[in-house]
Amino acid sequence: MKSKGFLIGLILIVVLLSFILFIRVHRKAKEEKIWEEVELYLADFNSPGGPFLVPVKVKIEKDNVLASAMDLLTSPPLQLKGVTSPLPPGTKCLSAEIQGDTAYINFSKELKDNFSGGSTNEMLVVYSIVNTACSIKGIKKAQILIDGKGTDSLGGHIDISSPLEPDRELVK
Amino acid sequence: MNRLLLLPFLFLLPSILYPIEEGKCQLFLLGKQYEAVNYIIEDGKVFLAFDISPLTPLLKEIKLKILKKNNEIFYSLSQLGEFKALSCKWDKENKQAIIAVRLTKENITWERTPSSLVFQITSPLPLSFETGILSSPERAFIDIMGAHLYPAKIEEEIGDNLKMRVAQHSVAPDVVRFILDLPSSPPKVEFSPSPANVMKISLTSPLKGRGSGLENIDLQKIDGGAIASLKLTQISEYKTLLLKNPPRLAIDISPAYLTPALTAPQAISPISQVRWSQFSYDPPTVRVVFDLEKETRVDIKSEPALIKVRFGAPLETDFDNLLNLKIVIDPGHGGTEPGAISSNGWKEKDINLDIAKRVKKLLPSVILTREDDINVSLQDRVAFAYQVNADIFISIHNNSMPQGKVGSGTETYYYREDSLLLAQCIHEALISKLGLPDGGVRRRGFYVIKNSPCPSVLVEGAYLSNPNEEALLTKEDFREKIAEAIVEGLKKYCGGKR
Ligand SMILES: [Zn+2]
Repeated sequence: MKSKGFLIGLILIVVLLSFILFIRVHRKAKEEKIWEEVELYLADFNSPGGPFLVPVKVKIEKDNVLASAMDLLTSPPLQLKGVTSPLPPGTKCLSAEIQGDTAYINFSKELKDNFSGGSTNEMLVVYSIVNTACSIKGIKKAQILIDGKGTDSLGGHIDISSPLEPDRELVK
Repeated sequence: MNRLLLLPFLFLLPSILYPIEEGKCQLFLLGKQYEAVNYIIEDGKVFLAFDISPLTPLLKEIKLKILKKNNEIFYSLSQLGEFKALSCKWDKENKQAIIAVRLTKENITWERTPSSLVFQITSPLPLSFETGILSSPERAFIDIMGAHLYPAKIEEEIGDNLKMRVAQHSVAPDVVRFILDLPSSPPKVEFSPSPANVMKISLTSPLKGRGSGLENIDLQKIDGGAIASLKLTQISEYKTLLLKNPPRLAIDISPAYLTPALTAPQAISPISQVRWSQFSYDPPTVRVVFDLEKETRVDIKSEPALIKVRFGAPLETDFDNLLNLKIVIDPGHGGTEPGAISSNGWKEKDINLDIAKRVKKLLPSVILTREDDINVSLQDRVAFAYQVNADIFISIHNNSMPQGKVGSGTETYYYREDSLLLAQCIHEALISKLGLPDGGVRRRGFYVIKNSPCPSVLVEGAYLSNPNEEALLTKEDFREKIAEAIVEGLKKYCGGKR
């Protein structure tokens, strides 16, 4: 009698263990299906050689990955030492779409209105957006739009009237 | 009294506690397998009868614990295990002994040589290695037979998309596997096992078909300096980096590889040394570095498959003097685009225009892209330079930092190699005249200097976001100094004032 109870217990444990294992394997496979790794290019203003862009790897849900990445860029939740978003305060990403290999990212007017000037600063803002977008699989170029319209330049140093390819000159 | 008589028999005690065990076992000695090796366990210690000669390089001047029985010599496994270079194990159940080489991270080194990246695995004892290339993805492997790895796994990024992974592949037989994940376009891989305890794996930049070969670097003395000529097998892109502390000029040529014929030229002042390396494999990039005795003006001119760098005196320009040149001065921003605004409301566009007008006063032959407070697009500024057939283009700006950062100093930007000397000449004059922190001559792709038809620079005189420098910029004599420095730099550039 006693050994029968023991046997049932054992079978139960085995079933439970294999169930847990199945769930874990399944979850891992699912995770790979829904997450995508993206590089957020944030600014390091404190390095001695002048400000630089630093790529920070994040995992973002694959649905709407571009818009989510831009949301993270406008307000990075990461309390990372020394790196911040170079985007002007108040900037919001209104929409983002991908056509072929080009990303079109539409920002609120604060991106231009609150831009505080400076050539290196402008480079940081433009390429934090372009480099971040182009870190997403399949995106090779990105164009910045403001309130749905193309614009010549944010601050008068870089031409953004057409899609830009990523630039690693400022990346540390 | 009677009990004392027992004392001489105390030496029997260990054999009562640890009975002597004898038998035959399997031995893995430095990767080789031996069957039916006699062993004795005495005092809980394992002794083995085997040919110890593969271990002799380690054994000099060390007294071995030895048991001698039936004309056979038994060596203590635990004593051998005390050697730093060895890892010894005894498997009681399977009657199996292992003597392997103990490998750590220190036994695996790598070095970049001019034409290759060489990994070296150095074993304290001669071992046998097996090597090969595995595909999809491409990776090179070395199996090190008869070794134990501590820790059991080592992984390291080497750069150039190369990753090194070392791990214990198996025990009894004891194999440590070294794997090098190769880049997508793999370089030539060569294994060279010599001497017997060393295995080298070298990755050589693949020759031909992957860009241009750097064939020759020649230095030639000229009045006041030197000219370096870099000869390539075909046209390649290149990029220069002017660096300080210590002063040096780096030229990255890509796609390019080093050729074996390359030899170091005799240094000529102001060059103190010429170095080169296969800076990366993916893409293949060659970096040539000219170490300089002091900060030196540099001018670069390239012909197809030939890069000419002039150190010291400027190259003879086609121009006789400044007055014959079409110099475009471009005051940044304007109209509804103010540029940077200081905390006291000073606008960059107004300061830039004032400086530009001062340049025109000093050098009336210059042409301005705008004379009033109007909008001019970046494209129109460049189009203007095309229209007037400009020889030189200088964009005047003043800087700003965001988010409460103040910033400080003077920076001069260039983008194309034809503009480096111009940037250096103007920057030198700005630094000596303004006395602000030296932000350096930097390469950045700002629109006007990227797209203008002639040598072009963008000057960032001072920071409007810095209260001290803002105060300076509001003073006429400081703005006059910026204008004077630009003219002085132009004179230097044109050889009018060496
Ligand atoms: Zn500006």
